[in-house]
Amino acid sequence: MTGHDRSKDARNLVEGWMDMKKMLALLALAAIGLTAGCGGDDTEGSAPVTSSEAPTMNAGESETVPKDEPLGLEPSSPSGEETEVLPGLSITLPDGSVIHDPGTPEGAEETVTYRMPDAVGGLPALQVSTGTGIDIYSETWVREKSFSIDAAYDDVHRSVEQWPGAAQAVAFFWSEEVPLATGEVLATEVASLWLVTEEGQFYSVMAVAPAGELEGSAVLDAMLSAELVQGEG
Amino acid sequence: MVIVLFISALAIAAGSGVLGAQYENLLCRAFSWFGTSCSTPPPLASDREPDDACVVTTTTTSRSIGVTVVADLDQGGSVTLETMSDGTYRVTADAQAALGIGFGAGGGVGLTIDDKKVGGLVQAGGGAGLTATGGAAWTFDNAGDAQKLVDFFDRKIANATTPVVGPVKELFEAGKNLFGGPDYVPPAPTEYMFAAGVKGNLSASAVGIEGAGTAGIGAAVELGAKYDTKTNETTVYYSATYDGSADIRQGLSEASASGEISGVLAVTISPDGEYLTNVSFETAAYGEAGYDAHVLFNSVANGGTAGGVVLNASVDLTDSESARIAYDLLRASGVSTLPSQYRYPPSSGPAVDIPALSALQRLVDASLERGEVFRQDVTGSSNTAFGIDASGEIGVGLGVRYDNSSSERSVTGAQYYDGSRWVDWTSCVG
Repeated sequence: MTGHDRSKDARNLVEGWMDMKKMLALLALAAIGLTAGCGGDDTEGSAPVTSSEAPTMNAGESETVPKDEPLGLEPSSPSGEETEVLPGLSITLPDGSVIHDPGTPEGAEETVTYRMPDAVGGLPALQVSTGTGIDIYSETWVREKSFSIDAAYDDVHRSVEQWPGAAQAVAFFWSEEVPLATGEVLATEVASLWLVTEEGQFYSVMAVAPAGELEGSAVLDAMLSAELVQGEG
Repeated sequence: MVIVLFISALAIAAGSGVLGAQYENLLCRAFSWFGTSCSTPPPLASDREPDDACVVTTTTTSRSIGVTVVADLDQGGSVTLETMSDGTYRVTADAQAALGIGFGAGGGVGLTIDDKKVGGLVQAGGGAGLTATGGAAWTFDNAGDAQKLVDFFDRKIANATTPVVGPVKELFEAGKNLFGGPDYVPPAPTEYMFAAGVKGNLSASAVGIEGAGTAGIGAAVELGAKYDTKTNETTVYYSATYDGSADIRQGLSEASASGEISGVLAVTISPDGEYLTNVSFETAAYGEAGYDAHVLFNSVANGGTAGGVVLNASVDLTDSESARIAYDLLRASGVSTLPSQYRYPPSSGPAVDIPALSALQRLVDASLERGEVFRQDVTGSSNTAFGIDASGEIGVGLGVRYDNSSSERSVTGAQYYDGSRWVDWTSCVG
């Protein structure tokens, strides 16, 4: 019904939000340069760190390679407490975030969920999962195809991104209507960042908010604060 | 106005069966938003033989890959050669990371040893530690070409299991001539399979939203998806279990079976991703445990079969009723979570929640009436040849094969349903 509008909104959201992020990132980099002087390793993060090691493929070579225009996601530095939420991955969580255990299915990947300080009814929430043996291109491709079968999902965006320390990174965004027990439907927006390390450890960092509330949200900032911890994973 | 009237007349003619069945269906699909309902007559019994080639014999080789050859990886890989009923041969390579198989669409396949490409064109997902979970399949017209490709992979596997002393590069040089010949370049695959490796539910509904309903969050689990390079269609596979007890409790035991049936639900999506074109369900039955599956399929157990019986029902979603039945099943299976309008063909009304096993029964009944239904008596050298009962490791559907190792199986009998009875599918028996 409003899928079209929402699609447009989501795009504007991402674009507008990206411009702001880029500016903030530039300012942050400038600040690092001025204050720390020699933060060489950190600043390299904005470059494609694995370009020389990356598999020799481009978007046309594999069916599963994300083909949407890259969002140019960049790490954020929100205020809050930097927490190693799962081995090998740290997130800066807003003060007052509460860990929540919605129950992990047997055999599922190691997962942790946080509710944001301003959460109502469980949202916004951040969920982080990790595991091995996952190809994040084909994994998100299969999910995208599966989403197309279910009318609850819309506005899907899947793109290749660069992320400091990651061998591969994928931005996987969508809107999702969650059926409630009352028979009503709750419209949500989901942004997820998929990372895989050179060692093959994958992470999925997923920010979920009520529709229209993801843009500029603390949960999105938290997702973008994802940092691969060296020597782990 | 005249055009509208003409179209309406055509559509009405289509709905009333004045035109030939084929045109009737096409027209009905095209104009059904004018209010006509598509009443596709059941196909003739003689047309009911499944179009797809079936598997006659299967030989699978699977060996462990040692760390000697493929750096820092120690995983298995398998290559399957299948003889098809139509005289073709299919080779399926289970592309686990150890094999370093790249499967770029249209780009052929590439093997990588010690960072070198062997006989290939593309390496996808081949960085150190990166995992390619999936595989590729090739169809050949003659056994010789199929065997060349099998050799290409099999030599690779055989050599990999042999402890090798010395630099990997030497092995690479020595092995080059073994892989189907020094100049052998595998053709582009006809299908690609990609497994869904993540077991958890990574979606908004999984973060613990208060008041979230349980409807639609069913037991179906994504297994993976297959991409057909010829049709550009994608098929998504789910593992699903249907429990008849819920139907009985609700007094809606349309399904004759009251037990539990597990199988693989396959949903095919059109090339543009807009529509669903086919839904199928495949299960296997063994001895008494398979009784419910036989009841579901209006089939009879073959008491003398040492192996089992594979039962498969599929229906093309070319009419409103089939689409509705399929969507009801998807919703009952938890594949589709919203009671939204049917996307194809145009809506025929609001969705209704139907108990899972009844929904499955309706799909099978629709397939018996106008789709494709077949059964295969299958034997094998291994009793574990059928992965369908093994939780989470179901190989059915992905490449249309059974995921196991070092086994051989063959089809000893096959029948398809012609609309009123089971008839022998002679071309499907080896």
